Amino acid sequence: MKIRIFFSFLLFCFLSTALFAKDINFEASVENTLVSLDEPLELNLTFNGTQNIPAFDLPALDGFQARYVGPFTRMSIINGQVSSSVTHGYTLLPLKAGKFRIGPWKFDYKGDTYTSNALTIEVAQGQAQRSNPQELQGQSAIGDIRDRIFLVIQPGKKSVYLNEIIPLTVKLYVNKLGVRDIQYPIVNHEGFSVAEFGQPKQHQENLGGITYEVLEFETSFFGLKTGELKLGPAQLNCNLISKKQSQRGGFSNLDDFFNSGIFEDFLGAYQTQPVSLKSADITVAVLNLPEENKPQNFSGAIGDFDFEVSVSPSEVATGDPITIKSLIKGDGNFNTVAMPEIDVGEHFKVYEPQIKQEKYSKSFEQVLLPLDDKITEIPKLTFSFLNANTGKYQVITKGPFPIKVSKPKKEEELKIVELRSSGDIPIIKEERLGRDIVYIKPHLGKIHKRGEYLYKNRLFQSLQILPFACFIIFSLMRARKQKLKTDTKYARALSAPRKARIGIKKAKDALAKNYKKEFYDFIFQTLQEYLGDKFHLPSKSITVSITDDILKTKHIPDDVLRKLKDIFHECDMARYAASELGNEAMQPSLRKLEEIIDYFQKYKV
Amino acid sequence: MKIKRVRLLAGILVAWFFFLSPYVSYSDNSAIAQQFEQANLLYKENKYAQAIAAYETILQQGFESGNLCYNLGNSYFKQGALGKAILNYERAKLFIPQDSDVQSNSEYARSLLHISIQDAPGCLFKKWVDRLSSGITINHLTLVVALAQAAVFLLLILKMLRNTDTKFSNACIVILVVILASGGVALKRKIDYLHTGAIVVSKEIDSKFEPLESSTTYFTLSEGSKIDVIESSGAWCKIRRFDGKVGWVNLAGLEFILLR
Repeated sequence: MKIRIFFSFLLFCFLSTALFAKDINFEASVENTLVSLDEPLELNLTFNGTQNIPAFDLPALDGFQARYVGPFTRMSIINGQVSSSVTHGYTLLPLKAGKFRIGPWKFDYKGDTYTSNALTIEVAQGQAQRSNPQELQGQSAIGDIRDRIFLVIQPGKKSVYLNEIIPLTVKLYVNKLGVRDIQYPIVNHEGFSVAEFGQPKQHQENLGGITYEVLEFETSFFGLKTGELKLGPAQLNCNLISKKQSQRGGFSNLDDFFNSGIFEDFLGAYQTQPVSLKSADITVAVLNLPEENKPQNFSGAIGDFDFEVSVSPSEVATGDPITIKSLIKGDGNFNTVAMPEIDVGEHFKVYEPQIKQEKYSKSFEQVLLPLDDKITEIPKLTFSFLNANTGKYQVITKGPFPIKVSKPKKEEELKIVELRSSGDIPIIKEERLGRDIVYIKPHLGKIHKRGEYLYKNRLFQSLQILPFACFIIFSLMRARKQKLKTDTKYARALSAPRKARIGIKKAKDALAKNYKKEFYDFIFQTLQEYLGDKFHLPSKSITVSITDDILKTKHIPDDVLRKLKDIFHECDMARYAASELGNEAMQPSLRKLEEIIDYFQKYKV
Repeated sequence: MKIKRVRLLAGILVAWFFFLSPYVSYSDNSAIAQQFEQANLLYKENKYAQAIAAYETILQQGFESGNLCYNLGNSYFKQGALGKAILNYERAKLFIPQDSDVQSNSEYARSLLHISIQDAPGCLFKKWVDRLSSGITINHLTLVVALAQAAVFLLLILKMLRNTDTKFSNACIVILVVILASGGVALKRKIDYLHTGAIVVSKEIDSKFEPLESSTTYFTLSEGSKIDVIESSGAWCKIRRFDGKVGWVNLAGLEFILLR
């Protein structure tokens, strides 16, 4: 066990040395390019890819006095990739105001020369108007923050073919700010299909002499339609962490927490500020697939693929299954990869393939049944695709595959075959049905004029009111009938004129026959019944006294009342002293009765 | 008295039948039938363009039938104009909604264009009545609603006449009211669809935020997509997609389901 650890350590050392020797990059950076005269500045000289390079004496710098602080090393393993670095820190003390270019520095070590980048530093007289968060307030602070935290969207290519898969990177750059609660970026992708982002990677990057912590989100995309399409902007939400301020708000005093690094969890002394970052958008040209040299069996596959085929078993009886396994590997849009074409003619019964798709491969497992024993081979399989890197179509052909088909053991019809796939999932033979449109109709069928609909017909619309109208009329009739049944006063008042008309008719008949007694009986009876019904009184109780008791209170004119009294008087005379009443008085009596009834009906007494 | 009533009722029924007969049972016109058969012959001879012209001629004469639209849809299908084929299958469904051939061809044409069948927008109740009334023509549904309405009032009158309030009669009235309400909603939706429904017949049309060529594209409609036209403005019309998204498209790229 100890020996194994020892050898592992040796191997690690060897690998490390090998790695270090391979790629060493020399980088100079400062924490800020704008400082005040009385403010020291930290200069970092970093050798990426090694930890074995010692510090060197800086040559004299114009405008600065340099002092070596010490080295610090860093090693990280990301996705199995080992990286290491050593940084030698120096403190630079500004001696005078002005703009100074320092570097590039050259360093010779073990026969190799390393050259760094140059830096430009501006030293301001007095308090520097620079990106010192302690001094920034309001808009200027926000503007500064945008220089120190921003989002960049980078597609792998800006000119792509339709359905070609292209890597897409969204980078979050942070320069000495506390950031947390970083959400996955959202990319505006109209006309594109964008996959989900994977686990982000973290590394450092130097931009314009300033070192940024970079969080890199990777995914892929492909164009859904052709044309010059906009990809992005990408948007990312996160929280900036700042020290709680007692007097000043905003983003001031941000330097207080610079040393904390990013993505660090802060305690109660700090506050968070939500920030929404937006990148610029990018124009991507999505091109149609080239028509030149397009293979006939091209089914739309785009990428860089390899194609393998295996056939088993190679010796079968007629009707026994042969499995063809096609494996397409490589890099590209596997959604566009279809089963490689095989032309088996009528000698085989072909079943639908089983398809399995993974990130970098797609497999097709197809079962064929040889239908006669004269078959000697399985025809060649052809797979064509557009190589997006070269822009040319490639065709890969495999086969033909020799097989030996013997006669079936029993002379019988093809049996239903149960196959076992690699995943032990039973496959039942299914009948493959064709599909096309159903044939035309031989007869015209029911025909009618264009736009002739029942709901538009005016008569039909009018008829719809009929059931409702019937219901309303019937309801009113029923209500009236009910009232006549229950409300006697109403019923008597309603029937009074009808009864009066009958009485007058009878009186007229008597008058025509000159029957004086009957005539006055009818007159009296009609008047009694009419007034009784009208005022809801017993008819027999109606006498001449009604004129004083009831009618006077109804404000009836005197002449009407007089006529009423006259009729009652004449009726009494006809009954008790008929001889004193001549026949000539009958006609005026009838007229008076008609006038009285007309008056009562007209004025609704 | 009884005989008189029976005669009156019979008279009303006969008059009603003659009034409705053009809407529910149509006579076959021999001249049109002859043209139709000639168009069928052209189709059988694989002369699809000529068959389309012959079927269209019948339509231009102001006659419609489910079988005519269906055959026209098949001709367009054979010509490769799948959008127009779907349009004519939709028209055929107005007259022969239960015809399985129309359903099958329509679904097949949609599958070739990778268009899934989407429910019309609306609440659960509306979707339920749509499904319930999918196999009924507009005229039949109109009749159902009219009869349900008449039956409701007739039952109410009978209730008053007999002066009864039984559970059975109440249940009948409730059922009829439900039929009336559902039928009414279904009829309204069918009529709306008849007047606003349209199919995209171009390969692809862009739906924009404004009725201007230079306006930003909101979404793209592919051939055969079913849409509702909300309003028109010159060569542009405001449309609503199945998912409720609204935009402006050029009228040239679509055709209304209702023949105009």
